[in-house]
Amino acid sequence: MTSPLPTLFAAATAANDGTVTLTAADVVVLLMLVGSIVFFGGAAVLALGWAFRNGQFENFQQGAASIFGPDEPIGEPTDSFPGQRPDATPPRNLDQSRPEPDECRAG
Amino acid sequence: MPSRVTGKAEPKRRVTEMSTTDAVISEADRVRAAAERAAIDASCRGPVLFFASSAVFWLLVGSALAVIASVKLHSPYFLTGPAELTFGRVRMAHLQAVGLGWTSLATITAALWQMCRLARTELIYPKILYASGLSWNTGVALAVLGIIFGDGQSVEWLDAPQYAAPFFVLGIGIVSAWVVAVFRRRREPHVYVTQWYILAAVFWFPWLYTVAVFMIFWFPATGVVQPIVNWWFGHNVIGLWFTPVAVGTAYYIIPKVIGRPIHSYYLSITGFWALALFYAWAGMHHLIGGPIPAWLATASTVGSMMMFIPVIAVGINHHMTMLGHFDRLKYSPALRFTVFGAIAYTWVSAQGAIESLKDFSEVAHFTHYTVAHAHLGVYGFVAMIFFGLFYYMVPRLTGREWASSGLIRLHFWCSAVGITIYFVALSIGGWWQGRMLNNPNVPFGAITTYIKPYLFARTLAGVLMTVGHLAFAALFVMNLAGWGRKRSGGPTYFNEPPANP
Amino acid sequence: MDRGMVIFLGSLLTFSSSWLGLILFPFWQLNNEQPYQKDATEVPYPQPLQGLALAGRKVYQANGCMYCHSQQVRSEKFGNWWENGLEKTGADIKRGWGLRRNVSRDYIYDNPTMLGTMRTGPDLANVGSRYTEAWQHAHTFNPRVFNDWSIMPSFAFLYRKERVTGERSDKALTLGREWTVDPGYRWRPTPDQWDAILAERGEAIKAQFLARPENAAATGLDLTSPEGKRQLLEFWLTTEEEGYQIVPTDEAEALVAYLLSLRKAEVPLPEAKE
Repeated sequence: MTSPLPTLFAAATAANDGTVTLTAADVVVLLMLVGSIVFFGGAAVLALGWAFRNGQFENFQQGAASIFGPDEPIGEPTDSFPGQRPDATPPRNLDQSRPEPDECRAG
Repeated sequence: MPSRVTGKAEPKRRVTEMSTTDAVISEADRVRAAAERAAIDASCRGPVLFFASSAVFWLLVGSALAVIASVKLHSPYFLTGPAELTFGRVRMAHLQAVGLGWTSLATITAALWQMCRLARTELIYPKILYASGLSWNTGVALAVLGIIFGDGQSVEWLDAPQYAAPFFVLGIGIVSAWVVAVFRRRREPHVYVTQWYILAAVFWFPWLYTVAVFMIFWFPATGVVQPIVNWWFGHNVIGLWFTPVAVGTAYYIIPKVIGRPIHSYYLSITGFWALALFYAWAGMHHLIGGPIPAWLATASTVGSMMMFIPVIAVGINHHMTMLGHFDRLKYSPALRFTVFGAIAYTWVSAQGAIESLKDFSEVAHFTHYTVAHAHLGVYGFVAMIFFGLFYYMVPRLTGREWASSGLIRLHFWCSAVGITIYFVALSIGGWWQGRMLNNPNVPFGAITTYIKPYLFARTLAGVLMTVGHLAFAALFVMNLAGWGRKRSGGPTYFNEPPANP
Repeated sequence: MDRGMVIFLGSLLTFSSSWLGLILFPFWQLNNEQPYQKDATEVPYPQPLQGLALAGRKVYQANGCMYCHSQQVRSEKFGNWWENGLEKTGADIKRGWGLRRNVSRDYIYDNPTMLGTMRTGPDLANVGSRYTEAWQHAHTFNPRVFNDWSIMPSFAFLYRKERVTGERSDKALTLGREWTVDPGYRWRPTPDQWDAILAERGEAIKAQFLARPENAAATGLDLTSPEGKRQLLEFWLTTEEEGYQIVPTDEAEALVAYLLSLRKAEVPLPEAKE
């Protein structure tokens, strides 16, 4: 298949006096570039819009707590060298001011 | 004191919705959650351990090949007789063994186990995954042996002869399907960040591999399009297959081990999407200065520099999560390896971004500096995090603690010191190698003579790392064979061991 | 919309942007590049490899030569070094690795295209113009024949050591015995072995030594003194091993033919002028 595209990319050449002539081929390349930007950029904007509407930006930290459970709750380390207990003191710096998930719900 | 959890009737309600200040985590809840966790672990034990064992096996093979190749570079008469052991073949075989063997199998192990855990779902039809593991292992064996016996392709990362490719395609196809299947059957409503990374990785890798094999081997593209596709593939194997699963693993292991949630979940989401957007554009920095269109190299430099965003996001997140808990590194093997890997990730990515700038690349390209960077990435970052994962995961799957603290420490220090020596020696040596290459008044012989001591230091580092791997393999085998104290109370319900010796 | 679907679509879009930009666009731009022909009287450049050189490329490929040798000459504007405070560039060309930088057209018939990413050894894009066939054979057999600092492996397994029956083959490598007694290695007798050899035919070797014009004056060479023995040994190691020869296998001939064909940075191309 002979593609016209190699010539497209070679299309814009600088003339010896420093001027540049824009050919039809250049226009096609520019359209493809701009089109890609519009397409992908538009998709990103739509995605961001969806995310806002869908409530993705509320209550982030709930997700962070999801990996814990009653058997491995927050505050209990879960790994140690064999034959030793992990240091069992509760973690410092736990953000006490951040509302707990339950407190966010009404009742 | 009413427990806020057991007061509700919905059986599917997540049992994590409780305040840590709530002093009562009822025993019943604990036991139920532990049993659920144990059931999940038990369901994936077989296939996950199969993949993990294969990974450890190829780690040993790859380490042996690595040391042989390294020695050959400063002592060229070492094993120079047989064709099968000539440097070029050993080097290609080494990469297949550690890249397609150890690292990929560890990635699959991590993806399967963590997806099951995070989805709170058991693995379905686990036996079919054995077929996938067998297929993948066959592929790696064919790759390594095929290269040794003369069928190497001289395409970076894709040196495996073509008869190995179908086995990889089958292997990853099954794994990807299974990961998605587990995800779709999830009981946990929240999709944790690690799952994002895993889902993306099992989607990206098959696409990468298929495109690369198509355009380089089956319908070979013309001329420089091949290296362009090659480096899009090669860089993205690291950035969109290994990295997401490794970073995701760190996002799971670090909070789990210290018992504290990730510092900023918002940053982790930013990090994920920034990685997805920018990493895939960075691949052409391997060809800066080469016979490719200038716009291509520039686009990749931009992509590489933009990688600062996700890397800083991840770095801040991990660091802030660890802040105030660095003393836990004394107590937890999994944490040590994982945090080392996470720090290496920040470091190697920052280095990589800088290295992609033209002025840096002019010096570092074609030199051992790049080799140092590559190994800091796949070993210092990816391998160390997966070591951490294995140390955490295996006792929970087998119900047995590791047999020896001493061997764990040996492994850690050999690997950590080894990769540090490796990185420092080849970075210094490689940098000056690059400077000298760019100076035509320096004869090539002088450059070679200069670099030899650094290559020797790399051999020492490699031997050290191999010792660590042997310790790791010994521990692994001992654990699977049943040596080592039983984890009390079942695989994942950790109880303090009796005061002891 | 389901979370899984979001992740899938997001991963798809981000990834396909790179696939479009880094794979499809360059493919469209470069895949149909044609050879250059200055005018009807000139042979188009480049030419696809054929015959022995094509077979040789497979040997190069199978033995991973690319992993130490690049095949891309960089432009004269590339690569800074400083001499007396003056910034200069173009080291590849100044080293004689090519007459001009390489461009994509140089590789259109390469399959696989082995640009290479390491310069543990020198760039080979234009090596065909730098060394003779005999040099390439001897160097491939054991690189330390020419450069004792070299870390390149010996490819003696591509050569055969055989007994000479009748005339020496005209393809035989011209190498001293230190390179051929143990192919791929550099051999030296132990002091005891040398003493034994001297005892057996020391006078004959001395005669051979004196027969060389540059040594004719050294008739006083004393075979019992350490200095004399050492001097004679150094000479003797350079003489050819009697009765044996090293000949290239087909693979070696193919490989050298391929190396001689590598002249990628010579023919002037319009796009390769800076």
